[in-house]
Amino acid sequence: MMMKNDQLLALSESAIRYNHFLLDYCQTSISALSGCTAGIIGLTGLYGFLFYFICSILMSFVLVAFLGKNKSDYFLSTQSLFTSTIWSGLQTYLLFWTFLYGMCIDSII
Amino acid sequence: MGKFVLTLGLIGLCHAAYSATQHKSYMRLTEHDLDSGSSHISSLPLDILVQTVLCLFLSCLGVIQVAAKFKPIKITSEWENKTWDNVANRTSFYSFNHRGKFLFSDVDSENQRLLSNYVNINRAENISKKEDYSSESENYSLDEQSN
Repeated sequence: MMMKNDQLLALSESAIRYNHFLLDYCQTSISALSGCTAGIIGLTGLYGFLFYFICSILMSFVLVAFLGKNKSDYFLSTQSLFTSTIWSGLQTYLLFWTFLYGMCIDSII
Repeated sequence: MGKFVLTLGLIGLCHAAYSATQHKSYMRLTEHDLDSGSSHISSLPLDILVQTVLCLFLSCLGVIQVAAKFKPIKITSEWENKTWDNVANRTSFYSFNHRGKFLFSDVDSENQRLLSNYVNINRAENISKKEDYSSESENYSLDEQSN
């Protein structure tokens, strides 16, 4: 339950939880994919981290465009789409980045 | 549609990774590799770069289309299309042994059948009784007609 514009708004907790889970799922997949891309391209150092943040924010924009006008039906704030999962995806990104970099660029083959 | 785009993006990414590896090994064999260590972005050809970034974008779109099936968070939207009977349904409190068994069952038709049987039996008895009378009355009527 929350108050909004002097009227009670009943929210389903399970739906909020499920939406956050789906958002986390999308973010994890996209950080893995962008890690692969960074590894293949052969980014090193701060450029790699910059690439991650650009990809993550771009993904959030795509998600906002995908949800369109009725995104307030699914999320309480648009800001949470951008910031809620950005740090948890960084570890996945690092894992795939170093793995693919080692496989493609640094390989002995 | 989403699955197709996702598969296309993943296959493209794999192909780009393979191409990058091939290019790198070729560069190493021809000993061009030594001067590229200084730059942060390795000297991949432009087509592999473009293919990688494009496939990343495609797979992002695919993932979002496949996975992002959000639920509306308002509780009223969940209950909009439900009747009160569905919302207040408690299976543990079902009671089957109530008057509805007799109100809505085939008791009436059963009674009807019994009643009709009873009537039929009585009618049959009546008919069998009547037959005795009627034979007499027929004779009587025939007598009347002859008169």
